[in-house]
Amino acid sequence: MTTATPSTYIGARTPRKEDPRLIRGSGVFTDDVTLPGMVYVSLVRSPHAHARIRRIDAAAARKEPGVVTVVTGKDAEATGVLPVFITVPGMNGSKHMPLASDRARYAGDAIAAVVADTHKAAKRAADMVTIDYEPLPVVVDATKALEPGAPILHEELGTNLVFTYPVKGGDIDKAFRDAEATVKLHIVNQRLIPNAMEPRSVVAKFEAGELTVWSSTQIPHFVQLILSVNLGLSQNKVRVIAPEVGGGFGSKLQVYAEELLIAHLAKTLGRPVKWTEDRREAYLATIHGRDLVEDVEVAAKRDGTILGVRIRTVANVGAYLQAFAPGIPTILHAFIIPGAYRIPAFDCEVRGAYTNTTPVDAYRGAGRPEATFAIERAMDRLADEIGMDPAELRRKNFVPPDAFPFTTISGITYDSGDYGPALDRALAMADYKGFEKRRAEAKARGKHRGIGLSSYVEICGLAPSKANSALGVGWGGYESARIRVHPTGAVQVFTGTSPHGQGHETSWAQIAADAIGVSPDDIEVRHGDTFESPGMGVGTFGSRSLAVGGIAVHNAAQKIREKVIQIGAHLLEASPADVVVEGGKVFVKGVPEKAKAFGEISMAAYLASNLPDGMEPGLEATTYYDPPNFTFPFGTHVAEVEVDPETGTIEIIRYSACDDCGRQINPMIVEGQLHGGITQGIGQALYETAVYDANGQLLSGSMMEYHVPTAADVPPFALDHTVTLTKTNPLGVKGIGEAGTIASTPAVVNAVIDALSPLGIKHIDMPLTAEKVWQAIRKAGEARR
Amino acid sequence: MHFEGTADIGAPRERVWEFVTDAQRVSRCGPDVQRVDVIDATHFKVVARAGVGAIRTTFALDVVFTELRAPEHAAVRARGHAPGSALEMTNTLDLADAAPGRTTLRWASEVTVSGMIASVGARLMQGAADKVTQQVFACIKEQLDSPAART
Repeated sequence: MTTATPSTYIGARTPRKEDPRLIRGSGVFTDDVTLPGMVYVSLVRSPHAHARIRRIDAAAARKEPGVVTVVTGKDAEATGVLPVFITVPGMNGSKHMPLASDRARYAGDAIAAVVADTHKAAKRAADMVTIDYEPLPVVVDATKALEPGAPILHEELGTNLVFTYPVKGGDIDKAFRDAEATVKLHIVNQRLIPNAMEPRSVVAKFEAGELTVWSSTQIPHFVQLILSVNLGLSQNKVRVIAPEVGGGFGSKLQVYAEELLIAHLAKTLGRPVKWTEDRREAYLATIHGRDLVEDVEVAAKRDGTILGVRIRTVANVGAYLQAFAPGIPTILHAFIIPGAYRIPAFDCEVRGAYTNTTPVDAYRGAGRPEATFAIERAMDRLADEIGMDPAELRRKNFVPPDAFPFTTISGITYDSGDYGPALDRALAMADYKGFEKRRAEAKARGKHRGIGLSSYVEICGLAPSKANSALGVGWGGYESARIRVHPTGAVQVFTGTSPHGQGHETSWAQIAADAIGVSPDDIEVRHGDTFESPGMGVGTFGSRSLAVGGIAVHNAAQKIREKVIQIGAHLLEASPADVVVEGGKVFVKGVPEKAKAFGEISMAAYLASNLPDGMEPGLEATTYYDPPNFTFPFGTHVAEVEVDPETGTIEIIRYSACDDCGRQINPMIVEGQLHGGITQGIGQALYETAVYDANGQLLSGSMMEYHVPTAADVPPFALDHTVTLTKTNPLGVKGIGEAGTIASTPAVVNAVIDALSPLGIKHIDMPLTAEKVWQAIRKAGEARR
Repeated sequence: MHFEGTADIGAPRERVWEFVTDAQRVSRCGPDVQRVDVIDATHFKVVARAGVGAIRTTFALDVVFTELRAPEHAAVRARGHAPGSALEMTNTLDLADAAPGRTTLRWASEVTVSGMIASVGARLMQGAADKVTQQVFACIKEQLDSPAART
C-alpha cells in the first residue's frame, strides 16, 4: 500500500548538500587516496595507430631507481578481457585486453605498465621502455574502413564491420512514391572528447585476501562484478569505492583496462597501486563520443505532412568495442530518430565500423543527440523546401496529446507528452513573432541574424530489465536503495546509483524526507561503496538515476513510512488511518500536541518490547525498483544568433528553452543540469571536434587544440518548463541529465543556417567555426557572382 | 608532411657527394645531434633532440642509405622513436652540376611523426619541421661553401 505523501521537500530549491565540501576543496577524489607502501603506475602507450609489436625491451626501465616491475600483455593475461555489456544481432565482437601484446590498434593503446615507488620514477622509466613496432596501414574513417581493401583491425574477424542494425516500420517505398517534396541531408556528427573535469584514476589494495579498489567511475557495482569474475575473487572479497567523482558524461561508464590492470597489480604485488591519467592520456585513452555519418531523406506532402524518413548511418566505434558501445548508435539512436513526430514510414540502417582510433562509447546524450540532430536539421530543410515556418512544420507533425501512450513507427512507446505547450512557451520566451524585425535591424548593421529551434524527445530512465534483455543489454535496468533508521532516529539512505556531480545527496534526501516526515538535513545519503549499498546497483547514466534510482529511494522510504505509522499508531493507541507523519513527529490527525517524536518511534522499533503484534523489530528497508517502461522527456529550445560576415564569428544573442522532465524534485538542480548540458551542446555545434590525421594521430590532443566552452562562450539561458507527469513511476519524474545537450546542438546550428540561408547556404558541418562559416559565406558569394 | 627545396653549393659534385654520404659529417648538420654511431657503410644510428616549441624530446634514429648512385642520387630512410613519439623520414638527394665548381642539390623529404609530438604539437608541426629541414640543408651548404670544409 502506498500512502499519499505531502510534498514539502520535493519541488524545493534545496541548496546542494555536497557543495560546501566540494567548493572548499575538502572532497576526497580517487587520486587523493594515498596508502602506506603505495606504488605508482605509468603506462607505455603506442605512438602508432596501427602496428605489429615485434619486441618489447624493458631491461633499461627495470634498472631505473625506484622501479618495482614492468609488466607487458603476456604477464597480465590474468586480468581477462574487457567486458562489453551489449550484444546486438550479428555483432562481430573484438577481443580487448588491458595491455595489447601482439598489435597496437590506436595511438594510445597501452602496451606496458611500469610500476615504481613514485609517480615520477614510473614516468621516467616508462620513457625507457623500447618497443620495436612494425607500422601497419591505418584507417581512421568509418566509411573507408568498410570499403574492400581497407586495413583490417581484428584479423580474426576478417572485416571491420561490427554490426548492421536495421529498424524499420511502415511502407517506406510508398512514402517516397507519394511524396510531393523530398529533402536529403548528409550529416557528419563529429567525434567529441568528453573532458570530465577530473581525469580517471584508480587505486587498489589487496590485503588479507580482500581487494579494495577506488575508482573514478559511474558504475562501481559493475566494476566490482567484473573484477570479481575476471580476477577469480569471491564477490564478497571485492570492494569498489567511487568516492567524489568529478564528472563523467558517460566517459566513466566503463570497466576500463586500467581498473582491471591496477587491481591485478595490487593483487600480484601485494602493495597498494595508484594510476591517474593526465589530460593528454585522457584524450587518447578515455572513450570518445559521437562520430556518426548520416544520410537522411524525408518524404512529405507540400502541406508539411511527413510521409516517411529514411536514414543510413555509419558509426565509428574506434579500435575496440567498449562496454556500451554497441547500444549507442543502435538502441539509443535508431529508435528515437522519429522524435516528437508522427511518422508513418521509417527505414533506418546503422552500420558500425572498427577504425584505428580511440574507442567510442556513451557521451552525454549518447545516440539521442545524434538522432535529434538528424531529424531536427531535416525538419528545417523540409520547412525551407516547402516554404513553411519551421515551428509550424513541427507543430503540424507533433504526436498529439491524446495519442499517448504512443507507439512510434520505430516500435517504442512514449509514456506521456504534450509537445505543443512546450513549443508555444519556448517561442513566446524567444519572441519568435518579433524575429523578422530583429533580422532586418541586424542586416542594417551588416550582420546576418538567424533563429533556430529544436523540439526533442529523448529516451531516459534506462530501463525495464525485460526490454533491456530483448534489446541485447546483458544486465537488468533496475536500481536499488536501502534506508536505515538508527535507534536514535538518524537516517541513512544508501543508493545503488553513484553520482558524479548530479547532486543525489540532496535530491534523494528530499525524496526520502517527504515520505518519512523528517527534514532532508537530517538524512544522510551515502553512495558509491559496494560494501555499503544494496547487493547490486546499476549506476548513473542515461538520465536514469532519478526515474529509477530515485524511485527505489522513494519506495524504500514508503516502507519506512508504513512502519513508522504502524508503530506510531500503536504507541498513540490510534488507528493507523488516523495518524499523520510530519515535521519529525507522528500524531493523530488534529492532535499535534500529543505527538511521538520520530526518534521515539525508531527507538521503539529497536527496543522491540512494545510493537504491534507480529511486527519485526528494526527500522530498515531495502528495495529494488524495475520500471515498467522508459521515460520520454521532451521540450523545445530556441537559439538566436548573429553572424559577422567579415569574420565568420557567431554570437548567440538569446537562448530560450522550455523543457518537460515531469515532476522536478529540485528545480535548482534541474536548471544546473540544463546550463551544463546546453553549454556542452553548444560546444559540439560551434567549437569541439576530435581530429585525426590520415596516420591515426590525434591532432586535437590537448585543450590547446580542443576548445571546451566556458561561461564566457554562452549567453544567459532563459529557462521555463511544463510538467507532464509520467505514469511510469509513482513520482511522475522523467530525467533531465541529457536534455540540454540533446536540444541545443540542432537549435544553434539551425539558427546559424537560418542566418545564412539568404545567401543560399543550406548546410555547414559542425563545428561551425569562424573559419568554416567565413569560407561558406565566401563560396556562396562567389557562386552568386 | 612533404618538404622540398634546392641549394646551390659552392663545391664540385664529387665533394658534395662525399659529404652527404658521410654519416659522421652529414649528421652533424642535424638539429641538436648528440651522438652518431656508424654501423657500416650504409647504416648508422643518430641520437638527436627534436620537438615543437616547448615539447622537445630525444629521438634515437636508425638511418639507412636505401639508394646510392654516386655522385648523383641518394635516398635515406630514418626511423626512430622517442618516449611516446615516433618518427619516420625519407629523404632523397639529387646532385647536378651547376656552374663550374658548383653543384645544385635538390632535396625532398617526407616526414611522418606519431605520438605525443604529433598530437600536442600538430598545429606547429609543419612550420617546425620545415624549419629543421631548411636548417639541415643550409648547414650542408655552409659546410661545403666554407673554406674550413675544404681541408
